[in-house]
Amino acid sequence: MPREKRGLMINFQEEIKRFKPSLDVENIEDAIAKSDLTDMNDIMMQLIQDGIAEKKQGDYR
Amino acid sequence: MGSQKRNKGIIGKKVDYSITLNRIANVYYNLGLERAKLNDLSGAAELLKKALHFSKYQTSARNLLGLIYYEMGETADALIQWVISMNLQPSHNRADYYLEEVQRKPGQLEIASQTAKKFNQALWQAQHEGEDLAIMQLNRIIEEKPNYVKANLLLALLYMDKEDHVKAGRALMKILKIDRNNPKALILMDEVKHHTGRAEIEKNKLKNAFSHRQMEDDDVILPKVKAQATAGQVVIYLSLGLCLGLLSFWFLLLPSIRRNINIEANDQVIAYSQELSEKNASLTELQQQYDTLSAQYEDTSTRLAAFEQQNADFLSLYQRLTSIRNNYQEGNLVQAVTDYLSIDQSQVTEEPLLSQMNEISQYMQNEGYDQLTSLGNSVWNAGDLDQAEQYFDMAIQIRPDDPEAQYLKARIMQEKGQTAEANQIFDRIVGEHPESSYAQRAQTARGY
Repeated sequence: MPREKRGLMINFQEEIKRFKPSLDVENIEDAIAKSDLTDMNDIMMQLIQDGIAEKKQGDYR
Repeated sequence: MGSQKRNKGIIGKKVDYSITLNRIANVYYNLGLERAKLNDLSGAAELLKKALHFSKYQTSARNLLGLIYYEMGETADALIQWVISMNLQPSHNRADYYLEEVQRKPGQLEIASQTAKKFNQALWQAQHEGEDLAIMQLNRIIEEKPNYVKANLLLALLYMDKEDHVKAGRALMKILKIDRNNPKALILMDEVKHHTGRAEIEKNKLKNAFSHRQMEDDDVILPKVKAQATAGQVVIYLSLGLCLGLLSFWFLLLPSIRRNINIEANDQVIAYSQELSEKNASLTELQQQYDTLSAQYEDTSTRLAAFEQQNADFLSLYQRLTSIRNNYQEGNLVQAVTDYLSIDQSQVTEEPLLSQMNEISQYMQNEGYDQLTSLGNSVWNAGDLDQAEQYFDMAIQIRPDDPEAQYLKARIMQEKGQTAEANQIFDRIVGEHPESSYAQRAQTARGY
C-alpha cells in the first residue's frame, strides 16, 4: 500500500537520503584543515581595519 | 594629535566590541550548559555552536561541544573539537585530558573507526534497497555502541518502514534517553505513538490527571482497612502467583531469549555473508590471474609455433640450396636447375641464406645458362628434340630476357611442326629485341 494512503507524514526514501555518512577517525586531519574558525570577532576586526584603511585614503586625498 | 586621538578611539572601539562579543558568547555557553545538564544534547549543541560563532576562543563551549558529540557516539567530531581547542589554547585546557582519555584505552580509536565504517556501510545498504542487511548491521553497531544516536535513528526509520513500530519505538526511546529533545527522534516518536495507540493512552492519562475535582469541606477520607486472608484465599493467591510467574516467563523472559538467539543467528549470517564476499573477491582475482596466464600461454605458444615454423623453413631452404650446390658440382645440372627454379627467391631474406642464394643465382645466370644452351645444342644435333627443348626451356626460365634460348626453342618447335607457336616466339624476339642478331635470324626463320 502506498505510504500516502496509510496516512504517514514521513517519507522514508526522502528521510534516508538526508542521512550523511559518519566521519571516520582516520579523516579528522582533513576535517580540521577544512574547518572555518572565523568568528564574529574576526569579522568585526576586519570591518574596523577596512574602515581605518578607507579613512586613511580619505585623509591623503 | 588628531590622528592619535582617532586611533585611540578605534582601539577603544575594538576592545568594546571584543568584550561585548565575549559576553554574548558566554551567555550562549551558559544556556548550552544548562541544556546539556538537562540531557537536551541537540539543543545544547546548537547554542554552543552559536557561542563559538561569537568567540572561537570560548574554550569551555568548544570542549563541551566535543563532549556532546562524544556522548552521541560521534567520536571523530568530538576529536575535531578537542584538537581545535588544544590548538587555540595549548595550556590549562581540559581538552588535553579528554584526548588523553580517548587515546589511553588501547584500540578505542580503531573501534571508533570501524564503527563509523560499519554505519556508513549500513547507510549505503539502506539507501540501496538492502534494508534487512542494514537492520542487522545497525543492531550489531548499537550493541557495541548503544549511545550512537545516528545509528539508532536510522534503525528506527528502517523499522518504521517495515511497520515494526514497537521496535522503532524502542530505538527512539534509547535516543531520547541520551538526547531528550532530539528533534528527529521526537517527530518519529509522534508517528510511532500514533500507530501503536500510545498517543491516545497518553492523551487520556493527561486528561484524567487534570480532571479531578477539588476536595470540599464536607468530603471525608476513609482509611483503608486491611482484611486478613483466609486459607482458601491463600491457595488462590498462590495459584495466581504461580500463573503470573509462568505468564511473565512466557511473555517477558522468553522473547528476550528468542531475541538473543536471533541476534546470534543474524551475526552468523553477516559473518557468513562477509566471508562469502571475501571468497568471491578472491575467486574473481584468481580467475583474472588464470585468464591472464592463459592469454600469456596462448601468445607464447603462437610465437613458439611461428618460431618453429620459421626455423623449419630456414632449415628446409638451407638443405635445398646445399642440394643445388652439390648437384651442380657433381654434374647433375638438370636436377640443380630444377631445384633452383623451384625456389621463390623473394622469400629468401635472411643471412646467410641470402648470400648463398645470390651466389647460386649468379652461377646459374652465367655458367648454368651457357651449359644448358650448349647441352641443348648437343642433344639437338644428336636428334633428341624433346630433350633439347627441355634444356632451352630451363635456359629461358633462368634468363627470360635473353633471345638466344628463345630462338633455339622456336627453331626446335618449328622442326617439330609446331609452326604457329614457333612463329609467335619469332615475332616476340623481333618485337622485343630488334637490335639483337637473333632478330634477323628470327625473321629469316619466320620466312620474311
